[in-house]
Amino acid sequence: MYHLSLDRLIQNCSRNDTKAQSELYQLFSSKLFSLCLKYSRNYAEAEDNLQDAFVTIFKKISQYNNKGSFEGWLKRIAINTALQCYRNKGVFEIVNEDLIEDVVLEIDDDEITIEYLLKIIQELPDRYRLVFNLYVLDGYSHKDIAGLLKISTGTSKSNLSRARQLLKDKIEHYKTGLNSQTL
Amino acid sequence: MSNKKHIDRVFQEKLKDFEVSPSSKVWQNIKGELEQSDDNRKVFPIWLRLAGVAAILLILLTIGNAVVSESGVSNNDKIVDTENILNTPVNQINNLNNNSNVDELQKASQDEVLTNVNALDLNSAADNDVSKNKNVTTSESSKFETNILNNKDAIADTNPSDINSVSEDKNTDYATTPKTEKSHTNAVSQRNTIAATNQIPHAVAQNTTLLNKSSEKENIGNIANGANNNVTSTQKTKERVAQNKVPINTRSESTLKSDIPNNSKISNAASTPTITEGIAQNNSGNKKNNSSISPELDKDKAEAVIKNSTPDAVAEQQSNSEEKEENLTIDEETDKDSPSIEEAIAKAEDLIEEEEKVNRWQVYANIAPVYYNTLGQGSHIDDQFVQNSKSGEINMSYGVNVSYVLNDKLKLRSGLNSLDLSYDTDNVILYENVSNNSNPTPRNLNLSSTGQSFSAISATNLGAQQVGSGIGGNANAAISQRIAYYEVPLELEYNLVDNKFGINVIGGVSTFILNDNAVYSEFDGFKTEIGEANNINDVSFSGNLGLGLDYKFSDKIKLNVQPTFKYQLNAYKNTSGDFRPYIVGIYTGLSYKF
Repeated sequence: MYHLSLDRLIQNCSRNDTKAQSELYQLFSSKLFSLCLKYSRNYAEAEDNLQDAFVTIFKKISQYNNKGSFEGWLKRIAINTALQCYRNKGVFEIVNEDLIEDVVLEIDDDEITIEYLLKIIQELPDRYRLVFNLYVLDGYSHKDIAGLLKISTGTSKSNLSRARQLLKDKIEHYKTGLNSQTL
Repeated sequence: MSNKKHIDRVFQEKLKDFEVSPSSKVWQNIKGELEQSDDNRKVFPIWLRLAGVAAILLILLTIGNAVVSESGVSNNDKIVDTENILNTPVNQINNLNNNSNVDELQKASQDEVLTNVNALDLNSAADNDVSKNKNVTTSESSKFETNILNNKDAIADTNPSDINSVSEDKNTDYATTPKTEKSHTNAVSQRNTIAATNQIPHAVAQNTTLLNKSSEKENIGNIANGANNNVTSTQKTKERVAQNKVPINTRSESTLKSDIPNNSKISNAASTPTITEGIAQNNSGNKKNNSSISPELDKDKAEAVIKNSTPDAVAEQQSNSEEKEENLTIDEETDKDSPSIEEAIAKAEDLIEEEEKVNRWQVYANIAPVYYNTLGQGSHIDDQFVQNSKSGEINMSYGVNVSYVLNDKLKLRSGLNSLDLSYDTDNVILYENVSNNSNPTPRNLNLSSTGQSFSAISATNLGAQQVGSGIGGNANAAISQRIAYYEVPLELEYNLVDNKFGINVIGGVSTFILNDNAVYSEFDGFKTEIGEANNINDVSFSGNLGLGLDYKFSDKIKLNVQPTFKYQLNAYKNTSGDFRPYIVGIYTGLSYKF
């Protein structure tokens, strides 16, 4: 039932039916906006990316070939939109590809809010944030990431380790802050 | 410590069902952007259609206005002219009606000749003009025709009574006047005959150029019959002249019927009293003359005609030449005596000239399949694609052209065409990417900011194994360059053959104004816009060479097929290798001549 109506919705969207476009937006905007938030530096940038992503989606929806999940297709476009944004701004510099050792990265997830997690993700340097998002949250392999970002898999792994370390430091710093407040 | 988890897991679990609704302004912005792009798509064809309609309307109005204002003036002129022409003979006819004096008869017959000559002059002049100006439209030529027909009708109207009275007078004179006077009338008649025959060949020459052979034969028959009838009975003459009044299909036919018989009539009528046998000879001579005039139409023949007709009369051959000269002087006098006719002719000529200017315009709508390719081996995208195979595609061009006739052979034309071009660079490895630090995108492409990010490398130059398989990595796709131009050609068309089928050569230049520029990736039949080229000039030019074939459905409507080669001069700012683009189009369409 859901698939049937979604198919029809997609068909109507490809005919530039405004009502269908609105429905599709309402169905997926929240999911895609959260994705954009993770890949962006802040809320405003995430809104811009979401807007660009949906414009691209509606322009290309006739090219969606029903192979693979529609949501996956939408997410890919949203991710690409976010990545495109940084590519155009030229934020990718040469990074040190030396692998750092994976230290113990276990944390206590008590008392950590989603908002705080999102905040520290957004505060990560762009190259770390993108790799962390792609690898940890969206399930891309280092090989995939290397292809997407045009970096080596070594660089991808290195960036991921640095991202994890930075996040762990921030969480621990946050916790000590909380503890000092409560004490 | 039991709560310790891997940091990845913490983030995954916490953010798994994380959803945030964006603010409503995002949707408003998306809607706005989509509507804008829709508008952009729709605006172009409507704009072009409106522009085309506006251009045609403008041309129609300009020409319509010119034609209407001129026809108003010419109508007035026409009425005045015909009255001027008609007034004199009519008055003289009235005076002549009861006249039995030979001298006055002589005058009358001379006048008759004069009017006929005048009519002939006018007609031949008109015919000259008409035959000179093949471009005269039907409305104008019909105007002219009515003009001539009016004159002709008027002359036909005046002739019957005129001739009848002359011939009747002559008959009565024969009974009473002495022979010396008879010889005098003969001289007159002879002069008239010569005058008539002198004019006939010219008139016939003018007229027969417009006639086919069958109608020539008819005319000969008419002339011969006219001569016979005239001699035998005046009653028949009346009938025949009455027949002449009947509307006649061809203008030239009417000229022959109404003028030539009248002339021969006068000569016959004048010579009737003297020698009856001579009359028969004269008639047969006239017949011969007429029949010889029609097919040959030479000046020599015209002289022969005069010689043929002279033995029938009393006067000798020497006097013929003298009389011929007299005739010429009469003609000259005639010209002096009738300034109104001169004016009429001059005005008619002016009118034609003015109308000719208006008739030089022609509108031509065309549609063409166009093929775009390059002469050398090069690439408009990047150095690395120089060796790649490339293929032009066939697209459409359509537009409206206007041409202006410079002379019989040359036409200058311009217009506005919409032109779509596309050109594929094959065997390209395209993949989505984020960074351009290791493999920059082709230097002449700006990849779109909203679309997917791509890098492209030539599979011809590199081994495929060197390329990482990123998600959505398309192996061996094609980069398709789409360009839309507005084209403003300025071309000269030179006629080689101008019959029902026409052949012409076309040369000129075109100005191309860039309308749209997009680069697509093509893979597995999927086309995805990936950006645009940054090296296409907004304004560029081409040299054009074409061969035109046309088929005339009517004087106004032509079917044109024009294979044209356009060599682009500065389409791109910087290209790699030897990239020399050209366009081949088979421009097909209908043209309408105003």
